[in-house]
Amino acid sequence: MGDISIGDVKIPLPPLGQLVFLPAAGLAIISGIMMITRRNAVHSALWLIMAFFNLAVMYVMLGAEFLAALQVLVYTGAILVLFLFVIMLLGLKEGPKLGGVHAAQLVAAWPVGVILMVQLLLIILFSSQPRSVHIGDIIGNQQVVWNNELVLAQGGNVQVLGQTLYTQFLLPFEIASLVLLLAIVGAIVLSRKEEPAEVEEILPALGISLGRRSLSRSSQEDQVEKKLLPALGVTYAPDATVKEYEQPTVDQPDAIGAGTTAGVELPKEK
Amino acid sequence: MQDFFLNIVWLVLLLPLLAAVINLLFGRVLGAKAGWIATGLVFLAFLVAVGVFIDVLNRPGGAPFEYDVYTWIPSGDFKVDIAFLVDPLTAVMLMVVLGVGSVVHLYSNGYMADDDRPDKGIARFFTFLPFFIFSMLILVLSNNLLLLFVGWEAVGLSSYMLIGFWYNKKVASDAAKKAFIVNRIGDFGFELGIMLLFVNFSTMATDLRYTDIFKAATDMFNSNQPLLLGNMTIICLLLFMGAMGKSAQFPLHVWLPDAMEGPTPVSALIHAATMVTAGVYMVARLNPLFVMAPDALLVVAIIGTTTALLGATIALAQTDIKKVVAYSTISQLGYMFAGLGVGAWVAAIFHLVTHAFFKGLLFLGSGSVIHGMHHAGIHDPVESQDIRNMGQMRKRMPITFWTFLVASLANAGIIPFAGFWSKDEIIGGSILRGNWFVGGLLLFAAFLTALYMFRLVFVVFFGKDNVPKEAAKVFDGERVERTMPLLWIPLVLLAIPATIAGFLGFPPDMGWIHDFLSPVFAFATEHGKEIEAGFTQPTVLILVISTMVAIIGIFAAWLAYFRQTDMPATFSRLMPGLYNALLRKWYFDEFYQKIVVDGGKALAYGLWRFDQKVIDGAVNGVAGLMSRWGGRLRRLQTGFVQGYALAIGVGVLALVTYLFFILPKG
Amino acid sequence: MDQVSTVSQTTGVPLAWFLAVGAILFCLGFIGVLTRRNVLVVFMSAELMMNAVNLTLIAFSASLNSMAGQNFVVFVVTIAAAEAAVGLAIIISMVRQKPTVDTTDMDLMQE
Repeated sequence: MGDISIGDVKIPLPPLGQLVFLPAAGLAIISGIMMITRRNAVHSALWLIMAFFNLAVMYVMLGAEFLAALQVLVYTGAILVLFLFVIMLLGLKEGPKLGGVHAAQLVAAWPVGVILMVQLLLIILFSSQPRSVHIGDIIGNQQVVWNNELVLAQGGNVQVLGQTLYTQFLLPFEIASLVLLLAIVGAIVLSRKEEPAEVEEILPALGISLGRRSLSRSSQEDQVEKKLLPALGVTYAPDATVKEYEQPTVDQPDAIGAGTTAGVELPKEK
Repeated sequence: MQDFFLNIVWLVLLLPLLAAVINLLFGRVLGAKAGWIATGLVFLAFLVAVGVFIDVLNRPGGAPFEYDVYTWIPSGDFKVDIAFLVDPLTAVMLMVVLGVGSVVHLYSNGYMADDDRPDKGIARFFTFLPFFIFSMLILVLSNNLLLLFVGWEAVGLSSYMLIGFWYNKKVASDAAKKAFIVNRIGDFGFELGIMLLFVNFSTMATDLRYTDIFKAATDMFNSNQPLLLGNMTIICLLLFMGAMGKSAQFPLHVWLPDAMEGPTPVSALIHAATMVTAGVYMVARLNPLFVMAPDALLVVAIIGTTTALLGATIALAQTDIKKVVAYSTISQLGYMFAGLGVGAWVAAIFHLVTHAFFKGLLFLGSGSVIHGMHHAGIHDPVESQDIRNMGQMRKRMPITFWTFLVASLANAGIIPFAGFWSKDEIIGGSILRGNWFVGGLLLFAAFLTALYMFRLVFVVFFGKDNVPKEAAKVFDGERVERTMPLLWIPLVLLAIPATIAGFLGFPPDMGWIHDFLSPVFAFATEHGKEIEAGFTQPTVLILVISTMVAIIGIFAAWLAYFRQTDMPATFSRLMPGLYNALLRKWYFDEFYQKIVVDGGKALAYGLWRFDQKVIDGAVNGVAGLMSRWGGRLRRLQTGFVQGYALAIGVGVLALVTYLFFILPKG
Repeated sequence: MDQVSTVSQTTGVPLAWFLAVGAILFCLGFIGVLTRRNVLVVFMSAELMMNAVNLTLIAFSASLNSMAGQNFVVFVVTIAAAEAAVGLAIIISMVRQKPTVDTTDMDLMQE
């Protein structure tokens, strides 16, 4: 890169990488700050999208083009949109608006977070290696970023990533697919609404069981059985023991204290 | 049909077990038939045992026969089989157990049927009784120590259940507990002994088989190798401790008199004829081990002699007919152990056999008398067994009288009854082997034996008629015995061996039983002292002396309890201390009460206080501390997740600070 | 473009700067998780933290010339997607039980 010369004055331009990096990094950090401080959840989500985009820029700078694409597609395209959907789906009046913070937490969290941040920065910036090593430097015979030539010779970043993913990391990859499957099933089960009574009424007759979704028996289920079972020739008597139990009449009120007090109404204590 | 019965020796075990199981499951339905089923099956087992006995007789040189059923505990190198050993000793024990056992079963049918308690419990009785036979057979048939111990404990269990048969009587259930607990003390030693044997010989005798143990022990003995743990004397003393408990030897004899609270047939079978001889059997069975420990044998002899004297003296002053016989049993068991201790092995077993017959007979006879008293309307158990309420029974129950007389003569050691030969052999054996002291004391005990036996005979069957008037009327109105054939037939059946069994060992030390049992004690006799046997001069001399002593004893009894009946009263007036000591059984129960029971209570109380103050205090203190601190710490658990996250953050901060800012500088 | 130009876009930026951005974003996300009452925002802050870690992983991947870091990021993204799906489903079902997204009101497991 050259310098910008205005007349005699030559202003040395920073390297191109820095010109790209600094705005991206700054924007990412600003977006992060905005995200955690906006009162409206929708705004927070939008700022988060901003941060994700800037992170994607940095991924590209680091030669991870595929992951940059993944970042945009999965995070901003899928996850964040899911967030927005949920915020709106909930339809709560205060849902998106709930911008409150925990005052007590605020007092503790900011100092802790900031001190941690400062410490991490001190570690990163003043430890020898990360500071002295620049992306693109050549140490020994190797460039400190993957050898673009090599990567290109193998068909580019995507192909290299794919090759390692399907060979070296095959087993974790398969497990990850299982995790995704579980997440899909779990999300469906968790967010499913109970079917209306009519549906429940029909399903057992068809031999389909919806299973039991709560530990306690819902009144809906009781109703279904009450309606359905007589038709199938089964007598339905929920809690029969309780209902048919009659309090034994006590001939002698003196029986209190004579050993058995079952069914005897004890005088209420004052 | 060589060894036909030996190969079905399991049947001997199975039949009593079958009886027990049948009566256990169907006893309530069967009612009185339960007794006949048990009697029949036990008698059948007796017949098989006779076959076994004949087979053993026909085996050349008394070679032992082993019968493996299956491996019970396969555990690495340690392997215990359910396996039987049939040798002459086992055969003799089989005959005794099943012989007396069948007769007692027969007798029980009569004795228990007339029981006037609301819950007769006949089924229960005839479940336990065959079960006892089964356990006893396991004990004598086992070919290893562990299975023997199983039988050992099982007879203890059945003894417990039968002593406490009338469980609604507090004395009975107390006596049962006492028997069980005292036996535990002995068993503690027995178990330790078995464990020591296993520790020392496990490499060579992995299955605790007698033969393997003997071989291992002999090898070590011959090569003068020291044992890994303990020595032979300690092992033998521990084993003998078990025998002391089971066979009611001083100082663990206290349970046996109390055990008389059980039904009389039980006393006859378990607490006279068979179970209490288990200790004798065990010591005899392990004779090669004991021979290697002469010191232990000496202890056996001393304990035996002490017990013989002790039992005989206490028996002098007892007024309960069964208690007298019970102390007599203790005394006779003492004789057996004295015989074992001095090395007169065969004599001890011989005495075991004869004693089983005549002591069983004595108990059954007492049972008849008691039953007669019940029949005559005296239902109180103490009253009906008190000899001061008896007298002139000779005319009222003649069969009982004659058989009782036979048994008494046998017990007193009058020629030619069974006890004479065996007892003389023990006395003679100890004197001839140089144990003059033991022999002399046993001779004195023989005098006492004759005295207390004939005190019983004279007071109960002759003498002053102390039977209450109403009861006497019943007795005089009808012959009580006639109505109960089941009560006198067994008496006659037992009276026969009680009379003639002594000739098994005739001539002394050279009789048939000595030949028969000699293979079992081959090792012991090799290492023991050879004695002059048969009708040699010393033997005959001792025979004469002991007969004289017995006759003097009888004469003394005649004098004191028949001729001049005020003599005992004078005696007790002159020497109240001695009399009371005898009456109170040398204060053993008081001693144990003071030392063991009260001491144990005091110790337990102390420990309880310790537990309360120190242990509970510590536990409660810790719990209280936790609870107080928990109450304070609980406030941190707000359930507010972000608070927890903050704690994690603080932790991370602390870690980072320590690892990157403090550690590198320090 | 020649060979140099392909790498020139990244030249001159120290590795430390990427790491620093990662650290800053991580701490911001952390503060967000701790302080916000809206459970959705808490969730988003957690996503930000995860992205900060991703950035660090990729930066190290670049400096160490290893693909392992990038592969890790793939898995992290996978898990993040799964987590978002399940987490949001949980929030939905929780809101059905009790119509609030305030973390202080979500105390079903308490006491």
